[in-house]
Amino acid sequence: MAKRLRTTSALAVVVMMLVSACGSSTTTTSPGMSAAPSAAPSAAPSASAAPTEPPASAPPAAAVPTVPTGYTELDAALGADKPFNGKTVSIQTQWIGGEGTNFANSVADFAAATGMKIQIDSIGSSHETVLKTRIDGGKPPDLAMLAQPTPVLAYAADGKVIDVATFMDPNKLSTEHPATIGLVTQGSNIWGIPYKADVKSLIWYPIKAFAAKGYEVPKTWDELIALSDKIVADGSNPWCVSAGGPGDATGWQITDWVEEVILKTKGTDYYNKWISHEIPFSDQGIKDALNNYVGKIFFTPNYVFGDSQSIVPSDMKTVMDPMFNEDLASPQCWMQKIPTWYGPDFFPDQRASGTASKFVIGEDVGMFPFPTIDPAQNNAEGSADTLMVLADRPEVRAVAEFLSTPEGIQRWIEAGSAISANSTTPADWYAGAYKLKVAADVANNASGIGFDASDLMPGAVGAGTFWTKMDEWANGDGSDTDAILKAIDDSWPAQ
Amino acid sequence: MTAPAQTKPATRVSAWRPPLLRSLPLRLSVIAICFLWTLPTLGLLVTSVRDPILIAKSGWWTSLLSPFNPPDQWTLSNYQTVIASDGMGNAFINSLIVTVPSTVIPITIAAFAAYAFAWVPFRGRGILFTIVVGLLVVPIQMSLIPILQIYSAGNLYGTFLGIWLAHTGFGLPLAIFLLYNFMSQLPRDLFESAAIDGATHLQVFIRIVLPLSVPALGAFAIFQFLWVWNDLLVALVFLGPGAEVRVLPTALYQLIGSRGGSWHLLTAGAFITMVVPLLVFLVLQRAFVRGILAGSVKS
Amino acid sequence: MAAARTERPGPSRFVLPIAGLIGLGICLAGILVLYDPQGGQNILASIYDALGNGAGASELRNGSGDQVVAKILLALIALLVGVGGIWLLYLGVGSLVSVLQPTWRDRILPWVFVGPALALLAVFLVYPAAGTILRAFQDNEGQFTLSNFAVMTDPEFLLILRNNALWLVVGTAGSVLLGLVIAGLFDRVRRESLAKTFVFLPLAISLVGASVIWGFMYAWQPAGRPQIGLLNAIVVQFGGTPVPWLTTSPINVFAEIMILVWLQTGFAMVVLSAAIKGVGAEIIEAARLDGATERQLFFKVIVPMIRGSIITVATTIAIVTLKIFDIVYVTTGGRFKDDVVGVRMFHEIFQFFNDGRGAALATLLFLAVLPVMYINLSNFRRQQRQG
Repeated sequence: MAKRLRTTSALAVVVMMLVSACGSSTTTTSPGMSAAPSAAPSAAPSASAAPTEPPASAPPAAAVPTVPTGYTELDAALGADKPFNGKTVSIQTQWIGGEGTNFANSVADFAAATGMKIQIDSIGSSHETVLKTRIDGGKPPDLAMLAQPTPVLAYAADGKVIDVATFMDPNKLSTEHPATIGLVTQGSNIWGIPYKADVKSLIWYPIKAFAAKGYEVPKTWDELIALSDKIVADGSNPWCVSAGGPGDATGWQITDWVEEVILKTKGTDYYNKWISHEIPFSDQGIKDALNNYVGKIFFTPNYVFGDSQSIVPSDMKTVMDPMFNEDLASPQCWMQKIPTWYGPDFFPDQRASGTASKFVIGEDVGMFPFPTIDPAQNNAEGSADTLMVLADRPEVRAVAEFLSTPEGIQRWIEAGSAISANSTTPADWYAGAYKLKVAADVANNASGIGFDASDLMPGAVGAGTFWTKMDEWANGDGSDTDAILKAIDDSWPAQ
Repeated sequence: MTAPAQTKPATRVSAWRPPLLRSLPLRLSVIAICFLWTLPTLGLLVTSVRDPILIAKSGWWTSLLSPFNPPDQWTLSNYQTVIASDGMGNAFINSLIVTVPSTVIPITIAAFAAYAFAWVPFRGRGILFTIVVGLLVVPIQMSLIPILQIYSAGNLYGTFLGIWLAHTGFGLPLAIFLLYNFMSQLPRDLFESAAIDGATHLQVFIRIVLPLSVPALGAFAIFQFLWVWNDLLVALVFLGPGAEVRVLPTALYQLIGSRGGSWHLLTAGAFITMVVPLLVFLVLQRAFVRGILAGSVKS
Repeated sequence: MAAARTERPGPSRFVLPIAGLIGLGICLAGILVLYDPQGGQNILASIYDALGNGAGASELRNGSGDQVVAKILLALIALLVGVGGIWLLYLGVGSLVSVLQPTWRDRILPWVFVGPALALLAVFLVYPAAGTILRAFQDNEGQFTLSNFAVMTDPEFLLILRNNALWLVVGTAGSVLLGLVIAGLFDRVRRESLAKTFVFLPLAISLVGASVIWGFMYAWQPAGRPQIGLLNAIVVQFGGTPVPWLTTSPINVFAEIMILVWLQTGFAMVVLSAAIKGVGAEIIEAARLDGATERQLFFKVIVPMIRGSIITVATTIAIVTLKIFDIVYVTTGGRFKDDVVGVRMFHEIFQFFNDGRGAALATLLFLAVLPVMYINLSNFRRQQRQG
């Protein structure tokens, strides 16, 4: 489940979209924004493209784009004669449960309007295994959603992916997905279409309980530490932290913490060089991030509920349960850094009963932006899911084109759980949902955005040693930072 | 293994029972073993009938220790949710359709092969047999991609025939191994007297070896049934992820994945899945009880 | 059927070959039906048509209607072909060969018996294995290279070897010994079936279910919170601090092995129990007459007689431990110094996209099983000599 969140994201997109929607007259060319160089060496994403001012509008009643869309097959599909009526397009995703339903709803109107049958194979955690087997075995799905860009490029190197630039206008794609498109672009080939974006620089907290105790939402790192100390003095533990487990996924959350701090202390240039290994893990900046910041939260006595030894064994879905103690009246922990997807599905009462939670996001439980550390480095972290095209039939192209439009994720946005990677998505689509609004604010106020680093590093590190060694570091109370970082450096695959 | 020289015509006692355990310590250890082995499963059972909210709060044994307090902690709703959920009935049937042929077909093929390895001398027998055993180590993940390539070229993808063949192929090493083990320990004089009578290998196999091998056949059948019944990955890859051909583990997994950390459904689902293999085991148990070498040398 | 003496002529000789031809026909027809993804539906539709139920027939062809019945029909056809047809085929071909001259017969008949098995194995296991070994020696462009085996120089590789060795020794010995003792003990219990069911039960639970159960055994909550894991509840009861069993090395390896032993003891018990029951009554009676105690009986008479089965069980479990994957992957993903070859191989191929390195690990696994195979070969030859 962690994987699905760790997708490259087009936060700059959100920035652009939100800036224009919020009426700010300056067109932002998000200065700190740059694609991770290791993934797309030759693509300098046109981050500076002036955003077109999309008309403020409510989402259309049926979640289909209006013709003409600018894409041939899509226009044809939506035409009156329904040329693709009765045809089947298969798409394999990792999303099951609530997310699966949201995705299914996102394509339902389109399927009805065109007469196509869109067969969604929601696989869950075996998604990557089954996908690789199907692709290598010669029976791929027509389309697939991936949580990181590195597998997309790996499959492209094997010649298994269709270059979308062959049937979609590359300029249009780049303009509408300015920051993320670079991650899946190699030269003139574009191997994927960014679909769903996510924001990671968020901290969840119990709104009413904060007010009852007179706690204020911290805006800077120092305020955060002061608040944590205050909570400790009041007899509670400020933080619930999980490494992201259990099982194979353990470790990704710690890497998110590290990436967040690096972005906020050293900036996006440094961050990107770190991703491409020009700056090794043993660099002083990384060490400081671990020892002075992440370590401070993890290892200061009484900061973390259950102590630092609880970080690694904690299940990421249940680690926040102490916060809901006595229905949020007396939380036993007060803050957790977790992306936007954390939501009612994981609140303890909904988990148990299966019916909607009684806690309302925005009233009982909320999120605040991760506080700034260095005021000059107000960067945010994000990720996104990418769509990969594996078959070359006209109806498949139509669906791919549809999913690249804002309407392709509209129902999901309306459910309050997704951010589109398409920058032309009207901002007031997000206005009603608290989660999305907070995420949007974060992106809006950020001077730069970094993509989840472990998603962009080579798999052996990004899903391998980085995670494992961070688990070791947390279990060791942060005592051997130097040795841990060196071990990660040593494991970097020889090019 | 040789039977001692028979000095009298063998009239086999068919239901010989060893003397029952007399000593208390041994009897207690039997009970202790059963208890220890069942403890984790007991935890599963208890959890599956507990109120979901309690599961995360307290250990399952607390419900056993205080069964009446709190009063409404027991519930069958978990089972209801699983059984009534979408597609579960269809998945159950699909699982049966996949499992039964996948269990029965390898038995025939393996029985003939095991007999030949055991009692039909031919060149290369030893090496071939050793290789068959060695094939037990081939990890399933390594086979999936090459076989899928063959299947997609041969239009077997998504068919039940494809998955029956796959499970048969994957199950043959263990089948041959287990059956060989049993057949090779049959007394040699059985075969010698049959040879004197002029019986062909075929006849010996059908009339002598096969009936005696029923316990081994039953043993393998149970394991193969279990393995195929509980399999998720092979079905996903060869049958495909479509809803009409979904098997029980996949359907359960879909249900559970939708509720993060929902142990109450997982445990109930695990129990429901367990019912059928358990029935198979109990039915086939009878075959084990017999097991004594019945036949003897009849002239 | 009368025993056929080779010199007896007569029409009865042709019964089996004809049956064989029928079997062949059934097989071919059946396979044609099975091969068609709509096979069951089509046959059922034809039946409906013949019965006059045209509506039902067209519903079937369109994908609705009695789909379940169609699927069950397909399965029944499969059983007919797979069991009946194959049997007849074997019998037919076997008897055909049996009437050949002895030299030819003795050369060909064994291959009739093992042929189908070998063919299936060749396709489903040998071919992928060979492909894997080849891949281990190729780089991503297909050129010959040994660089994939550099996976052995990874710092964690020694750890992986250590873990697999632990699994092999502790897991195999534990399961076999326990299975043997339990099989022997339960053999003499009145309600034997019931007792054996308890030990067999874990096998019936899928690995997912097993990992949930053991999750509840090993679960950990911070000190001060109520423990929901049985082991930690006991630890806390005796005044200790709860231990995160699965994330603490090296105890996590043993915790995981325990799950395997819990499962595989049932397997060992089933096989060894059948073997024990196969020991002839007179042997035991004779030993008893000689004055053996029950314990001597068990260890000195029964155990040596079932030596072959013990080796079989030990071999099977040993191989399971060598390629162990599911238990480790589901509990920890191998992330806490408990990594094993199987999990590492999976990560290399499916997460790191290093097909070559994964194949190299699989090849090492094949090499590791050679000693086990050798033991089996010796045992095989010994059995052939003894008889």
